[in-house]
Amino acid sequence: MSLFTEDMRMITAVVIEEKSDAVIKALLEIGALDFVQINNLPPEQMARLSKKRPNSNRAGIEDARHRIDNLLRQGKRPMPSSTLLNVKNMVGLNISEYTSFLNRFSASLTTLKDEQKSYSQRLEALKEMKSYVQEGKRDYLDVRTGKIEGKIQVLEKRLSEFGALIVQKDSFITTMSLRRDAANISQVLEMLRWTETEDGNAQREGAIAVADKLDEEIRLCNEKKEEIENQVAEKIQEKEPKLLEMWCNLRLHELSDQIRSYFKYTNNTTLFSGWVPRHDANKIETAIYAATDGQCIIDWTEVNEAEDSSTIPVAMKSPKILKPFQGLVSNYGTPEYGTINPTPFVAVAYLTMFLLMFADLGQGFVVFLLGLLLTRSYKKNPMKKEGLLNKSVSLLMIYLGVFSMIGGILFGSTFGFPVFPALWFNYHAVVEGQASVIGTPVQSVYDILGICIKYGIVVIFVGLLINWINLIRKKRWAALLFSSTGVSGTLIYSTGLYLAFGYVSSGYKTFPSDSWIVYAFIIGALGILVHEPFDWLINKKSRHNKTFGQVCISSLGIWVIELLEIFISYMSNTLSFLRVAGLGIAHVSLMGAFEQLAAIPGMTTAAGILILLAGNVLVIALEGLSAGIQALRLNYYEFFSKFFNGKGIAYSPVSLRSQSHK
Amino acid sequence: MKKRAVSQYGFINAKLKAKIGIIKDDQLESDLLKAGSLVEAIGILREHGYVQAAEAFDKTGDLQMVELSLLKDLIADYQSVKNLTEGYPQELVKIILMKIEVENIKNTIRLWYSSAVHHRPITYRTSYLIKESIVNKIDYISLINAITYENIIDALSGTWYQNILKKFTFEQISQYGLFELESALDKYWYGLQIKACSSLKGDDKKVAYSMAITEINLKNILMLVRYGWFHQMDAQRLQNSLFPYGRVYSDKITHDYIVSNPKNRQPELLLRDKYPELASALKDINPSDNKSSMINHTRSIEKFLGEQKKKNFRKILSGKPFTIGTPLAYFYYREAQYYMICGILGGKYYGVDSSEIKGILS
Repeated sequence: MSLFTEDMRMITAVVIEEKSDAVIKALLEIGALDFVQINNLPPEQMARLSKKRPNSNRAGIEDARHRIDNLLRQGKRPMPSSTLLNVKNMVGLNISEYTSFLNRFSASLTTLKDEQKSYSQRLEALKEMKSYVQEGKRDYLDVRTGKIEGKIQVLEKRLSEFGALIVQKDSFITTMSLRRDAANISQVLEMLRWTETEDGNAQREGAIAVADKLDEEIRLCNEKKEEIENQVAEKIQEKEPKLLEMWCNLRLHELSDQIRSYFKYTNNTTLFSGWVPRHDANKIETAIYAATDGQCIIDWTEVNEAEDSSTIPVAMKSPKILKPFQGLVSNYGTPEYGTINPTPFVAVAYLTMFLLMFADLGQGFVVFLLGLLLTRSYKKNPMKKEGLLNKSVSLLMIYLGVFSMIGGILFGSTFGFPVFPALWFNYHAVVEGQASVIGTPVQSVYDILGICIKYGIVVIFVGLLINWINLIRKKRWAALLFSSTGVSGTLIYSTGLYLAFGYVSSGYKTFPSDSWIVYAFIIGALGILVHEPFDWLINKKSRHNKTFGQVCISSLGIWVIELLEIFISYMSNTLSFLRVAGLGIAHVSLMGAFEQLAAIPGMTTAAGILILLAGNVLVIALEGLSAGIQALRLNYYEFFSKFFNGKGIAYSPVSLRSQSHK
Repeated sequence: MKKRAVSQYGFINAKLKAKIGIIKDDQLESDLLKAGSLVEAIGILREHGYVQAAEAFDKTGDLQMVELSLLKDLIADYQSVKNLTEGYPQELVKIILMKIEVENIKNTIRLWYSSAVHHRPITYRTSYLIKESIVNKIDYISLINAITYENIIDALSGTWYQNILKKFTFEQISQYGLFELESALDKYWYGLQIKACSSLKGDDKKVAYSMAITEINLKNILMLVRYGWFHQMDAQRLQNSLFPYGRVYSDKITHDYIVSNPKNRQPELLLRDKYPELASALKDINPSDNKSSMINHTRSIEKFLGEQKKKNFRKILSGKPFTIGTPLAYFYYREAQYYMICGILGGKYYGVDSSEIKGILS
């Protein structure tokens, strides 16, 4: 792991056009090249280049791939992902062949669904009759028993459009339909010379038989409906390998097209350019040579030769175990090229903040277990949909659980109870005012507040130190010496801290009166004043058509505001860490409240256990979330604001793992 | 007043504006249009969160069941807005919700009409109706099982629908069809809407009233063109078909247009003040053109008037934030989304080309 963002190199290659497809495959397989558009050549050379490739139909390819997605989704099959992609399986693409396959397949599913629809409609009519039978609403039903002249099949055919049920028992026929269709049914029956029977037995038996048939028909329709639903799913499952094969080929062609869009062409050659991490440079070079049988020209540009360093993509390489913390950094922004990778610092700061706010061996173990279970479920089912809870958060929960457990050991808390002696001090005893009885090194909540403020100061100084290192590497001397986060700002902040601690140690009576304090403030403040003029003198790029006089006048104007801003921001940043103590105290107080509730006289043991259980669940859910969010906030606003401007451009190579539009 | 407006609309309007933003940004329309078939389109619906509608299709294969599920979603959405408002604004939201109820009752009556007058089987078709109470307590089971027109009237007892239906007889509707009856239901509903708008105060009243009147004006224009020009309806029937509110209804130009010889009616005179572009477009059209071209012309007028409506809602959204305008705009966008989905799914079911569906929708 490098402490800084990864060292990059820019490749510019010319290959003969007939080998360009092989080059694309090779580059895609390595997936390390962040392409740039070639547009900084002299106009006459640019005019000789073209950006063609007539046979590419990217929209068509994307549409076809989305159609496959939709079919698989309809079959409730897992969505294909980049893990299935293999450049070696890429074959020529005939999009119309794919489309016609998809059309045929889709049409076959539609036919099945139409069949299902007819069963469903029949079922709806039957269910309505069944509901009236069950609810005793016989007024809505029309049941008749009698005889016809002619074949029963004719009757069945004629009455089928009204959804009527017909049964024959001995020589009698019984029909069941909805009363609202009675007039139409009567017309049909009259045509077939229907004679209603007066035989009560025949009517009763007919009614029973037709009710049985109703049940039977409902069962059959339900079965058929479900059978077709399963058939659709099976059909999609059956075609899944073919669909996945098509999906992969489409995706590979999509990615190839994406790479090709960066290519420029002359009559016989292809030209492209892009950034690559230094450690992948050889691999890329070798692959291009191999793909072109050496018929290529490769030129490397180093970072210091780049015209504009702000356009260099930033790659951060952190160990796998720090992956969730890299996510936290990326969420905020991308650091500038060549600066310190903040990930390991964030990991330490985030976890220690959480430890101080949510310290409990038992509750930490629960968070750890939840994280473990979630991570396992994602491993078991990689296609599982990610939302607020995702792979990264579940991994983060494992870390947070472990640190919460360490906190529990330090402060002697297990599910809010002092099961074992605290390694550092008993947080519960301090909050409850029992510290002097137990004799812990920390006596009151003010001591806890002090610890958190000192912890915050350390975090802020680490941020300032990182900033200095970044500025030295970037050779931004003016900012290093005279900015609010440079030496001048730090001098003002340090002097302010000296004053504040002196005041506190005097019992809030007097401020320290050392003579150097005034000089330190003056030097710091003057430093801020000369920042812009000094920058103008040493850095031509920062002049922006302004004269030295103009810069001096504007500096004077913003100086007072900047000084005020320094005082306010440093003070608020430092005091902001009081929330660490606040949440820690709230955590302990809440657990104390639940313990007291559980110990109310007259409360049964079971009720007491239930209260403690509910209390722990509530604290884990709400306090855990709250501590996680506050730790993130402290990192983003108090820590990052000292060194991180998020102006970098994230390294985004075209690779098999590149995100598709959907 | 200001404070009351903020407490009344602060939460609900923020929520609805966020929802409108999602509807506007949604790729659903373009994704659905790209689907190769209805089955694929349902997969897209599922992806966009319409899981219940997609499951309705999985279980039945029936597009109308999907539409029913979407309509139920829409009603639930409107009801949640109703529950988050109070007083007169809530009353207006209730009336807007009632429009869905009116349509449901019209659909029920149409089914009965088809069975009782045309002797067509309705069997499973009643399963596509909403049978749960939307605003008024209605015994839908009695309604769908009505055999006679009197049964229909009885099933609607205790509601204003009954009073309207009582004005008609079975003989009248079996002879002239349901147009007059449906028009009477719509007219009464618009009356309720105007009354609810008039009960509002300050900005609410201004916004709601102007939106209601604009819609009535646009509907009246459409009817004057469609029935008065294309179908050359006689003066009395044409006058009766209009909604009796708004500028278009009371305008002298409208009156002259209605009483003129049906063959000589000139719709551009109706439109030239307010919608000059549409007026000049209609100038060259001959009402004796073939039927399909007339349908296309009607569609283009509908499209134009729809655009006007859209513009008005856009204006409302960029106007004062704490008025009933936002809920009204939400209903507009939400309803448009519902019709868009149903329209595309229908098109996919019948194998209509995507570009043609898009043309009809836009």
